Amino acid sequence: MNLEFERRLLSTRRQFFGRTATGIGTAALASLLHRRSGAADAPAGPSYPLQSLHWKPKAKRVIYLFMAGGPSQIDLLDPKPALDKYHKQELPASVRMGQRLTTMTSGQASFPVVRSIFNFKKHGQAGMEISELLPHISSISDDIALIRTVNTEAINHDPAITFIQTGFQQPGRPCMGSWLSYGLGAANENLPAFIVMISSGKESDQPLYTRLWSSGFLPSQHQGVQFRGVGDPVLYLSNPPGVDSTSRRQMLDGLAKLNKKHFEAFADPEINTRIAQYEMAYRMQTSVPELTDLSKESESTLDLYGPDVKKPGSFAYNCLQARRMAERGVRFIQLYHRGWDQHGGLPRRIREQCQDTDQPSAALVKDLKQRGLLEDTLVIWGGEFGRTVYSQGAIDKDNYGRDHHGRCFSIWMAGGGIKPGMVLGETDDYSYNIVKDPVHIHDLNATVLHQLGLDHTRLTYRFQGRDFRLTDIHGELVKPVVG
Amino acid sequence: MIASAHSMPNDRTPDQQPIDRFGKLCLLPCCFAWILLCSALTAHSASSSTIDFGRQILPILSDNCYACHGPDDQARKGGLRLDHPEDAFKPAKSGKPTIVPGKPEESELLKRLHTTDPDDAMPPEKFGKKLSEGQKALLKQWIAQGATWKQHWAFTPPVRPVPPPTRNTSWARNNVDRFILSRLEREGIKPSKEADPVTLIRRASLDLTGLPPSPDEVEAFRNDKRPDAYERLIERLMKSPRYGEHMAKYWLDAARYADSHGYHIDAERHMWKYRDWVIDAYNKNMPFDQFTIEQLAGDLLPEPSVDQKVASGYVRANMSTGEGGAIVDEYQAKYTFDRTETTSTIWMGLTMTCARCHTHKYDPITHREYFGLYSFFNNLKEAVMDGNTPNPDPAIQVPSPDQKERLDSLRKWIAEGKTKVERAMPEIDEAQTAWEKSWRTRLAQAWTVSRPQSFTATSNAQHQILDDKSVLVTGPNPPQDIYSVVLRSEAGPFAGLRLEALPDDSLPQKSSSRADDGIFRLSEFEADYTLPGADGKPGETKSLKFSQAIADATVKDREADKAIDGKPETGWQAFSAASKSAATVLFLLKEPMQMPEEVELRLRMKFQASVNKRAIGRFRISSAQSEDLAYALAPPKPDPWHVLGALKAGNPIETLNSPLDPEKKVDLKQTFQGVREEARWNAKADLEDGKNHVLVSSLHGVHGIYYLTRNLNARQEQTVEISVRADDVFRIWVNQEQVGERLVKEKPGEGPLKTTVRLKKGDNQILIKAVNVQGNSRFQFSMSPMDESILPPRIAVLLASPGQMPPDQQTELKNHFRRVKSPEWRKDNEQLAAWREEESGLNKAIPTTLVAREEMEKPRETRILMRGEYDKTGDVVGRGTPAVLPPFPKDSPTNRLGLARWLLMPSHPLTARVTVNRFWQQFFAVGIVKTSEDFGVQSEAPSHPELLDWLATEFITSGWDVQKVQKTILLSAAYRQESRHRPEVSARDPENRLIARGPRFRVDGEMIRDTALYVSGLLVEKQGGRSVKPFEPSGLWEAVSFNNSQKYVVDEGDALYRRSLYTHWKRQSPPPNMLLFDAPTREYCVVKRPRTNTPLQALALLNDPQFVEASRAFADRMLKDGGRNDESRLRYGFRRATGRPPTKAELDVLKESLAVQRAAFMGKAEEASKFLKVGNFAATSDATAEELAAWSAVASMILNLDETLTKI
Repeated sequence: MNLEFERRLLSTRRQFFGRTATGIGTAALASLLHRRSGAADAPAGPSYPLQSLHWKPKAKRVIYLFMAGGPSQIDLLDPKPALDKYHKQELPASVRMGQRLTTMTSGQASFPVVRSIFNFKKHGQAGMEISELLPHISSISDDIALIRTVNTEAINHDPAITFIQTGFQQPGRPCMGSWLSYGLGAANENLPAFIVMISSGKESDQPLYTRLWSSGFLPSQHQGVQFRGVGDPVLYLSNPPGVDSTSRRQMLDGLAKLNKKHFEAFADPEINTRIAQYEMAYRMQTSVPELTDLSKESESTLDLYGPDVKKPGSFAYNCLQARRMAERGVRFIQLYHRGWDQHGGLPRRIREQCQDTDQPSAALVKDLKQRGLLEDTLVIWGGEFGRTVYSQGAIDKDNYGRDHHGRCFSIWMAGGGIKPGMVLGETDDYSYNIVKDPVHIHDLNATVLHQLGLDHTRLTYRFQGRDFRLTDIHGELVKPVVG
Repeated sequence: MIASAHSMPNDRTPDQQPIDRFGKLCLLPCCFAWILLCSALTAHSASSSTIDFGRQILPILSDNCYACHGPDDQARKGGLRLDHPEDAFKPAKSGKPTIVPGKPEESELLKRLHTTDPDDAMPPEKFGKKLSEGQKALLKQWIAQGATWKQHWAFTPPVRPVPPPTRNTSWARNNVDRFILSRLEREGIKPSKEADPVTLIRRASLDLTGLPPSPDEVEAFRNDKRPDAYERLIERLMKSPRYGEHMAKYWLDAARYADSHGYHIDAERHMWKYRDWVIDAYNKNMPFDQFTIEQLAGDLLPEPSVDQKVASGYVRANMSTGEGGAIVDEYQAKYTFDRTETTSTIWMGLTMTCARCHTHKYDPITHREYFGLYSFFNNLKEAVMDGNTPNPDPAIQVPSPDQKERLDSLRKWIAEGKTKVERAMPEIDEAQTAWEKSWRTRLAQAWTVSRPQSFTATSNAQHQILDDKSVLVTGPNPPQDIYSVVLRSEAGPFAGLRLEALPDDSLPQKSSSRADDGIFRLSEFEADYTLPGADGKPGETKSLKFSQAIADATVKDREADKAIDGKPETGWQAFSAASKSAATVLFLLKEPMQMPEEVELRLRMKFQASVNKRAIGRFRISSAQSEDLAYALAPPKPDPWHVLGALKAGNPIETLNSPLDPEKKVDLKQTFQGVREEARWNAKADLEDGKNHVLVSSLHGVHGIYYLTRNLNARQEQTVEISVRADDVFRIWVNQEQVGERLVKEKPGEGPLKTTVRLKKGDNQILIKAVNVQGNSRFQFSMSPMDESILPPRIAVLLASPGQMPPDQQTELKNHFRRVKSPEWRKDNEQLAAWREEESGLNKAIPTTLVAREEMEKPRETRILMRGEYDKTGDVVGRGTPAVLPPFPKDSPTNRLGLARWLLMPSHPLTARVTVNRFWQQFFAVGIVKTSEDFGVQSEAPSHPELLDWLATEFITSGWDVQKVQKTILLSAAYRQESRHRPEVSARDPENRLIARGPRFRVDGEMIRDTALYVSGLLVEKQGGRSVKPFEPSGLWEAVSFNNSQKYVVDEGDALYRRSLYTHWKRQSPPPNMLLFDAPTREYCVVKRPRTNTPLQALALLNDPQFVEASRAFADRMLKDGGRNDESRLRYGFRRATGRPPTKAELDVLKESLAVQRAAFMGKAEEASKFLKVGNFAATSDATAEELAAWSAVASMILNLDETLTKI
């Protein structure tokens, strides 16, 4: 792709639309400009600022499998054999270093270390050590990059999840999906650029927040559109009962006629934009059901995702939906799966969580790969923090709990130019502190933007006199994982 | 997906901003036009060639240089400061003069801008900013002209400008117009002509009331030929109660008002009284200074009224948390940040957030000054962890007049009822005396005083056993002690132990305690025994499980049950001061047991709840071992409850009426398909009788069907009264026979359901089926015998205690006896109980609202927080305001009240400007300063600076009269222009910043919904009150809430049709049809909404049940009120929505659409009636379903017209 050529082409178009913009409305302008899909797709307009991407992107879209609640890295992805030795012993002060704890455990009289009851084995060519809880993810170890040293300052759910998704612990900033929608626009004009799905598993303890898919101070069309497992996939998508598509079409025709007359009288380009939006809404009524209709998926594909795949709202169902959205050019597909907040009863509950999520997560990567989509789709799996090596509450033979731990936790990524089959970062014997290669969540976010052709320091938006960005004033590219 | 956004907070990329402003390069037409305007603006401020520092130079310096050469000395590079003239003109560290007035070639600044040497070039490449050639030229010209330096305009107080002369002397109606016209004349643009009366009344009605005018109002205005008809119209609209409702919406966005806490669980919060206060304030035209003071400091006014306290809720309207694990200090800082920054944005248009972590990069506000402001808000006495309750402290009750009246009546009735139930009833009282005496005798014989076998104490205290078998403790007396006593217990029934604390002359103050002050506190009382094993060896050791501890004397919070709660830090204390009386406490087993043979009982009396030697000095132990007592203490023996649930439930009554297996037979081993997973019967030992339990928590429970069952073993056939409460609806069976039900959720004052049942001898099965659909669901069960011959345990205990009974126990006894004996008394007593229930229910129903309250003691110390982190504290900071702004008034207190007064000083450069700018933005879509949230150095220059200052000074001199200044704007010729676009003008000024036409923009989401309800006749215009829940797609709250437990339960009746301002606002799941139209989430202060145009909006307006229902009601109205034929009905409908009659061409389209829709529904009565079932509205016209459906489709079309959705 010749970026310079693309840029010139765009500026020519802008000149053209610049002259006639008052005639067709800024929205229509934006629409025409970002209708094309492709690597250098750079919509422009008042709310799409980029003239071109900052560099050639490796990924065109992101699927973010967000494991809300804070999965236990010690039981899943960060094996700590030394804990056999330290089991039930007090966590040494030299490790804990007086760091702040949540008030759920800061009052505990002691902090006994608890080893994982789950076994880890080496997988794939890299010999990636993964817990027996994740057999399917283990099977794609050669496709993923595992980072064991992600870290955050937040220690509770609300601030932590807000932080990792928006770069700030307090509400008000746009989330990653909104930044991407703003920076990249949509590649499919019949679908939103940024879609959110929430799955319901066996547990769904910790709440989520609309702000996690909010556009903050960015123009509000960049907010994530929630696709739902119950009712209309998109709010208000269906015609009212008893109204068929034909009579709706006829009604919209009448509406367009009246609005056109109104435009003739007032010449306000927004009127034409409104006409276009009603047309778009009508088209969405077809494109969304087509998107969510799984009837044409082959049995082998359905099998790949596991038995829950036909259950709307399940994680497996949403993973398959995510692949279908990726195929159709949706830029940012955010899945939330709750239930990882295992302060107590961790062994039983983490097993259930893994039953819900392991197979579909791996299936998504496999499915993307077999369709040639993994190459330019970045898949991310991870939560807002990890969990403590010390037990919250009593340690039984087959029961223990872990509190929140932000000083190190594990995530994995696949596709979109991420180096496959590698492990980055090392934590100490307790998975408490980082020994080597820390990756702050700002670094992670900078890296995601980087893969999409965006310089996190240059994707900015001016608000209250300041140029804001997803990574605030931080963030370094995590070079080892981008090859 | 395409979407357009005009009036964005900021349309341009940061990189473009300086370029746009000074205009060389431009990509977008709107930017281009604005450049022309800005240049023109500049030209106005001085002669065409003189550079204006504030408008042309300062923005360049600020945007490109201040990050390293600005106010923040931590970030400063090379010792160079460019935000102060004295520094900028000094030689920099390099020794070279930065700016030499009049000599551009000697100024290092310009050299650095032009050099290609990457070491010297400014701004440095990695900074990512680059000045355009035009900007460089401007800087050069400015230096050449002498480099005049001025303070940023917004930091100097507004000086009242003289309205400029204009060539056209007939157009202007007031001074606003002279500023507008003068500018237009310079641009060579003629203003638009005045809009027609229909447009004017619709525009003004939407702007002042948020609703369109009715056709009658339009007619009246059209026919009003008085010269001041328009002024009268504005005055009428401002007097309408709708005015306050509409204005409040803007304020509530800024004040971040909502009906939930915001963080984490995001539970419901009550502060809608504050919302109503804001509405009232606008409707009263409260002067803005009073409006400011009462919100910022209503609580600090001398003897504040209830309303003033309510107003101070502004300070508490920020988000709060109740998240487990959260650290109080961290959130206290977060709340204070929010209060500081919200106040700065609303009143000063200052972006304080930057200065939270370091000195502001652009504006002259230091890190220390930020905390000077912060400290005004850092002294609130409040529950930082909100506990997920609706009214975390401090909150006040604000009863309505009705509630107050009812409460007064109830209190009177309760007093009367109390006299009635306490009256003497000679016959019954006499019978009681006999009954009591006989029981007392029987029970007294039942207590066996035991002589201790041994006594030891951890303190090694000594003891002696006195004649009455009591133990007197002497010797070592440590701060805490534990006594161990061994007793011998006989074989046979055993029901409990009695402990008497006895006074002794040898003890301090002749009390029963070893403490100097004569007070004892028993922290725990435990007992165990060992049964002999098989071969003579000791067998199993068992502890006695006491279920009840009752004392004849106790002080508050140190009741007897504190001695059996397992917590060493709590305990039973009989007296608050030394007493020479004995005190008795009974420890009762849950049920009497049989001691198989004589055993040793080992008792432990612990005195660990205090370090003040609070051990008992002399005591005596007895045990209850008579058959009689054991029996009296054991009426029907209840097994623990078993609970099954939640099973799936639909409509509550239907669910209650559809029997499932448990109704036929309870099988505790059976499993069921639950709401989520497999459900089974679980034993629930903690459902204690007589107490209120939360069966399902609205925050983290699961709603559905719950079954509760238990077995009651009666020793003989008897009558008992059972009392049950289990919201929402429930039914009770005893031995499979229905004995009671409640089919409507318990009403306030109704109390538990009571029913009398006859138990058979032996096992009796109780089954309760409760269907819970919303909110917290309580469960309460109690049972009392209705036979005189059987004693409830509590009564038995009272009768078994030796000594004089305290008055409350006497009453208890009396009431028990009267209840059993006198149906008449029972009726009176139940009435009294009902009133009391209602009183307590009403007390709970009285709205509460969060208010501000200062910490009483000396103000909390404020320290600078390094990098804004709560746990990295720096120097102590006193209260103060930024130096760039006027000094704090000397005669004002240094608290929030003083702060409010400071904001209102006439010399304060920001408050009035920022406020009138928001009014302008309300009416014209874009403020005179477009960045209405930022008036700092990085803000966008005002389009009409003199007009802004004129309005600001007008506002101050009018005594902060909100309606007066708004009226001035609305009466202007500028506002009255028609809003038709003129292509040549729109091309230059697409955002209408020059006001060459009237405002035209899509109205806010609230106005769209309210308009649909209003024109269709559905709107219920009731003022204020609790927030309501109109239609919303189901499942939205569940999807994000903890355990999917919070549900949006759609209200009924009027609540569905209130103005959108009253819709319940949950911050983490706000009403979707408002969010889609750019409403903020109300998590933080927003003073300007974006205005987008998206397909999702179209879908909502077409398909949201609220709008579908409104279309039907609108259709019904057209059919009934619109005349006799299609044409007049269509005309009527079109007029209601747009204010004007349709043109011939439009009418043709309407007719055609009606015909098409008729054809579409013809012969499809079934389809049509499905369409007509959406929502609750029942049509009253006599049209057929097909006809009404066709009309509804046309009505929907009218409601979706661009013109309906737009202020024109």
